[in-house]
Order: sequence, then C-alpha cells, then structure tokens
Amino acid sequence: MIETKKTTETLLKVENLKKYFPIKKGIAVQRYVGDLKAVDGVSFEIRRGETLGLVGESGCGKSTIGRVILRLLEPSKGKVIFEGKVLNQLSHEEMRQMRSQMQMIFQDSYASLNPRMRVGDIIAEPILIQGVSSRAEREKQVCKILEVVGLSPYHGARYPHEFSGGQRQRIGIARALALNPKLIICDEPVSALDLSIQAQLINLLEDLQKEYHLTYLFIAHDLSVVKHISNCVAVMYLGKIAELANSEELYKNPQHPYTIALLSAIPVPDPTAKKDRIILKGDVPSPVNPPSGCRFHTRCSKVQTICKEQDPNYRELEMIIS
Amino acid sequence: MDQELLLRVKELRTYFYTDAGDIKAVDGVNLEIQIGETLGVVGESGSGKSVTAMSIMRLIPIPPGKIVSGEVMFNGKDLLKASEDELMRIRGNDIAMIFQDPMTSLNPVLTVGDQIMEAIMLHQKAGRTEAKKKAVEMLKRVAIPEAEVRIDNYPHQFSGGMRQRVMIVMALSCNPKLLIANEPTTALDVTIQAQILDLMNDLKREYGAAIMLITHDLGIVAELCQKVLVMYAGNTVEYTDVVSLFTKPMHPYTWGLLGSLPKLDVWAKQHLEPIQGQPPDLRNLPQGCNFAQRCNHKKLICEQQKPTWLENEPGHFVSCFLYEEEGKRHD
Ligand SMILES: Nc1ncnc2c1ncn2[C@@H]1O[C@H](COP(=O)(O)OP(=O)(O)OP(=O)(O)O)[C@@H](O)[C@H]1O
Ligand SMILES: Nc1ncnc2c1ncn2[C@@H]1O[C@H](COP(=O)(O)OP(=O)(O)OP(=O)(O)O)[C@@H](O)[C@H]1O
Ligand code: SF4
Ligand code: SF4
Ligand SMILES: [Mg+2]
Ligand SMILES: [Mg+2]
Repeated sequence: MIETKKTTETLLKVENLKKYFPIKKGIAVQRYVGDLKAVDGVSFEIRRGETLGLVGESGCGKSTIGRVILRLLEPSKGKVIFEGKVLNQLSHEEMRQMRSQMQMIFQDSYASLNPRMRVGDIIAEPILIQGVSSRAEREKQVCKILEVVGLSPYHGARYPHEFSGGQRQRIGIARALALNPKLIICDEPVSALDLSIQAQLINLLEDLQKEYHLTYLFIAHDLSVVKHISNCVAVMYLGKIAELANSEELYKNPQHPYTIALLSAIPVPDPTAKKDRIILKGDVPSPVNPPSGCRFHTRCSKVQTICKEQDPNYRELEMIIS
Repeated sequence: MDQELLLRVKELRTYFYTDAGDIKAVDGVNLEIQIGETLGVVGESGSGKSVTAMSIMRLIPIPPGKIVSGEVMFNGKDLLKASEDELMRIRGNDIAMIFQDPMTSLNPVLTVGDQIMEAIMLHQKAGRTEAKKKAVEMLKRVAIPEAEVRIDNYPHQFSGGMRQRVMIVMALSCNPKLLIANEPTTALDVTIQAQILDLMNDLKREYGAAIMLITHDLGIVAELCQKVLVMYAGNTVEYTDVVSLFTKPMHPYTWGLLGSLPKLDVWAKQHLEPIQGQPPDLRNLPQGCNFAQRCNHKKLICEQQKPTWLENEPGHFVSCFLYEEEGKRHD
C-alpha cells in the first residue's frame, strides 16, 4: 500500500456517506418510528480510468450508494466529490449538466426502459440531448452502439418488451454508453447474462475504459467477474465497508471473516468437486437495529467478546504489518 | 432409476409475427423432466429459454405470438390442447413460475405481505392470520431481516435481491409439482443464493416437486441439477446428465460455453474468451445448422441441412452433424 503511489488524480470521492430511510407506522396518521440505515458511513475513492468493485450481501446498500452518488437520492450525511466538486452543493441546473458525465446502468433493466419508446429512440435520446441534431448522424451512432453491445441495427426498431432479459440489459448498457460519460455506475450489469456475453461485455467495458479513460463503480455479487474487472474491491456488510483492498490481494489473502465466507460460498462449475463452503449461520441482521459493536459479530466464526462491544476501526492493514 | 415422467416437450415451436418479420424464437425444443428432478436450462441470451417457459405455461401473448406446433405433455395431459379453465387450475397449483423480471411481476401498489398472503390463502386454503404467519416464516427462510416489519413494505422499498426473494416465496407457497424458475438468483449474492437453493431442494424433498431451472450460472447447474439442457437460437442442441455435460460435452456450442467461464484461480488479467460472432437473425435463420456461422468444426453439410436431435449415447442427446453417422434416431 505504501508503494502504490497515487499516480493519477481522484475522479470520485465518497466521504462518510450515510443514507437513512425513515420508517413510518400507522394507517391513518403515519408516525415516525425509526430509521432504516441503508448506508451508514461509507468512504472510498476511485481514480480516473480505474474500476472499484463493490460487492456484498443482498440488501447491504450497494444500489443505494449508486443512487446517492447520482443524486437520485439525497444523502442523509456525508459528501460525494466528483472532479473536485461537492455534488450535494450543486444547483439543479449544475447537477443536470453534471449528470451527462455520470451514467448508471440499472439493476432492473426492464423497469428502467420506457415501454412506449422504440429501442433506437431510447438510445438516440441522450445523443440528441448532447446536441447531435442530424438524424442521419444519430442513427449512425445508434447502430454503432447497438453493435458494440452485441445487438443488431434492426433491433433499434423494436420495443423493450420484445427482447429477452439479457438483451434488455444490453440496451441499458447501450443507453449509458451513448452519452460518453466519464463515470459509469454499473449496477449488476452482467448478472442476467450468459457467460459468453458476459465475457463479451466485460471485454467491451475494459476496452472502452482504455480508449476513453472511463471510470467504473462496478456493483455485483459475482466475485469472479468483479475480480476480473476491478483494480480495487470494497466488500460491504450491512451499510458499511468491511474490507477494501487491491483486487488481487483481496482474493489471495482475504482478511475479514465475511470476505472469507463470501469467497468460500462461490458455486464451482464442477459437479464432482468437494464443497467446503462456510455457510453463514444466524439471521441476517436488520439495518434498522444493526448489532452492537462489529456488525458482523452475530454471524462471525471468529467472534471475540470485544467484538460485541466495540466497532472495530476501519484501518489500512498492510501499513501496520509492514 | 424407476422415475416417473412429469413433463415432456416435443418439437415445440413458438413464433412472433411482427411488422419487422416473423421471429422464430423457439424452433424445435425437446426436453423431459422426471418427478423429483432438477433440469438446468442454459444457453445464450435470446436463445429462447424464457419463451420456452412461457409456452409451457401457455402465457405467450397472442398476437403477436403463436405456438405453432409441438407437444407439452404434463402429467399425461397435453397442455397445448388444454382449455383456458384447465390451464387456470394448473397454473399456480401444479406449475408455478418465478419470472425473470421481479419488479414487473410484483404489484407496486400492494404491500409485499399482501401479495404473498394472497398466494398462500389461495393455494393452501389458509385464513388471513395463518397466512400472515406463514408469509413471515417464509420470508425468514429466504433471509429477509425483521420479516415481521418488512412484510408491510411496498416492493420499491425492497432491494433488487429482496424482490427476487419475494417472487421465490410466492412461487414456493403454492407447493407446485413443477417449479419453473427463470434466473431466480441472478440478483443474489452467493451466501443468500446458497440458502435459496437449499430451500428449493427442501421443496423437492418434502413434496417430490420437479424444478426447471433456467440459469446462466454453470456453478449452480453443477451443484443443483441432475440433467442439463443447452439451447442455441431457438433449438435444443444438447441434453444430458450433469456429469456428462461437464466431462464430455458434445456440441461445439457447449464447448464454447464451458470455455468462456471466468476462472477465479487464473491470475493473469487476460481477456476472457467469448464465442466469436453473433447469433443468427431469428427472422432469417440459415438453411443449415443455426450455429454454423460461428462453429470451428463445421462440415460442408452443416450449411445445407439441419442436424437432427439424436440420442448419441444412452441419455445423451445432441443435435450436430459431427455425431450424425453414429447416432440413432430419437422418436
Ligand atoms: N426507497 C426506499 N425506502 C425504504 N427502504 C429502502 C428504499 N430503498 C432501499 N431501501 C432499503 O435499503 C436497504 C439497502 O437497499 P439496496 O437496494 O441499496 O441494497 P443492495 O445492496 O443494492 O441489494 P441487492 O443486491 O439486493 O440489490 C434494503 O434494506 C432496502 O430494503
Ligand atoms: N413479445 C415478443 N415479440 C417479439 N420477439 C420476442 C418477444 N419475446 C421474445 N422475443 C424474442 O425471442 C427471442 C428469445 O427470447 P427469450 O426471452 O426466450 O430469450 P432467453 O433465452 O430467455 O434470453 P435471456 O437469457 O436474455 O433472458 C429473442 O430474440 C427475443 O427478442
Ligand atoms: S465479529 Fe470480531 S472477528 Fe468477526 S469480523 Fe467482527 S470484529 Fe472481526
Ligand atoms: S452441425 Fe456442424 S455447424 Fe452445427 S454445431 Fe455441429 S459441426 Fe458445428
Ligand atoms: Mg441492488
Ligand atoms: Mg430469459
């Protein structure tokens, strides 16, 4: 960690980000009864041209982080800094301009596509907003992008419901690429796809990154894909980052008991293989009343008394060892 | 093994008639599922997996879609000939389906709990209080924290993976004979995935149900399925038991599929190896084998004729000219 000099500038920085959703009860009069702490103090940074992988259990707050970065949700606390500007302080107009530089590939691709628009128009819309007024030129660009994501130009004339699940996912990717953004938040971009097309798209994302110096926040639960594409990986648990490390290091030498359990649970494509996964015991704790001390202590195999009382400090381990 | 046949699909064809042309989404699908068995269905995006599932359930929108020909024998009855009344009874009771898009198949204005309870009250003849108890219990089994509270949430208050789990709970609470699960765990991390797969196995054990599991995750196939069906451009190209599929795959597309696995233990940051080229335009299928354009093993005949679906070895079906001399016809 000491040697890895920060050679390139930081594009995105997230500081102590929190997002709480208020919980209300009651039918006639809604009474506030507490907070659901979806994201509870998350910090990381991504350098220009690099990829940060974000993994963690379903419901731990990954998509919420993505939405808060784009200001589709306002944070409860903390800052998002993009190219040196604090996004939460921007006016609506400034934010609107900023948005074209930050795109999101949504997890629920179908729900994020307008069912009444043809796919060609869905992709052309952002190109039009960018000021490409010639129809022929837009069509040319749309065709190119469709091919880039493994669809054909004739697909542009169809509506979203006429596509398979994986094809719709690729339409979402095409729309995000159309704007030439600097940052793309990819929320489970390939999890609905078969391996060959996953491989095509991962290669594509990597090629585009090299060519245009794109930066990715890559949210996924598939650790093998994340490992392949990311420079660094952040492992989240219940609204917090449990471990953040260089991706090679994380897989070779995971430190946090949760990371170790995650790595052990990956299904192996070999029907004769012996399986010694660590099945996490105990209920998934609630983000409304997270466990005291270390949030993982209710399910950790290495739990000690202190874990129940104190929240472990988030620190740079390599620095201490070396 | 003296198992009983639950579902047999023969030469199924489902087309969509659109302005842009006739799309042959499913064009020759053959499969079998025995009672208590899990069949994995894999294949490229757009190869017709979902359309096959929807055809079995007779949920294809007509028009533009149409089931053109084939046979879907379920428990000795051809579903393609069943009346709408019979189908209503079978859907949800005997055959349940977990859809690929959880958000679009949940009702946004009803709470998660109401939707699950409705399924339980309908299929298990339970009263409201009992249904609620069961719903909470099921949500706990799919690892939703504080299920008693979260049951009153609306779908948009759930994360992607939590919605997927709601869909699973709804399908399982029907105690179906056949569960068609279309990519049920794509949005789930490995630890919760393991819990869900266990739950589906319980269903098999407790009720002798069969599962048709559509997935692109070969790891899940290896762990959960006894049989595997491989699809390409609307055709079934290979069908066999899971060990044979991984140890002696026969179809060139299957070879490609197994070759493009991102491996966790390979360190070098090399490019992944996708199968080169694009699948054919389903409006304009080639005269010969649908995979010919992308196949490294193609012979002259491959571009002229369609290969036939043959049982090349006992229980190992493949549709490819590399095997056609040795094989015997399947009927
Ligand atoms: N609009 C909302 N109102 C209330 N709670 C919400 C809302 N959006 C998300 N949540 C809750 O916040 C938590 C985190 O959700 P989020 O969607 O960020 O999870 P995730 O890590 O993306 O999970 P998944 O992998 O399942 O998609 C969940 O408990 C979810 O139910
Ligand atoms: N309503 C429709 N109208 C026209 N074409 C359709 C319709 N539904 C599906 N198709 C086409 O049929 C083909 C098969 O689709 P299907 O949804 O079965 O694919 P799939 O194998 O499930 O793929 P995925 O893994 O991406 O979900 C696709 O090319 C799709 O575009
Ligand atoms: S419970 Fe203790 S040992 Fe386990 S992860 Fe937390 S701090 Fe570490
Ligand atoms: S039939 Fe010919 S083209 Fe088709 S998969 Fe077999 S060898 Fe390849
Ligand atoms: Mg999410
Ligand atoms: Mg599908």
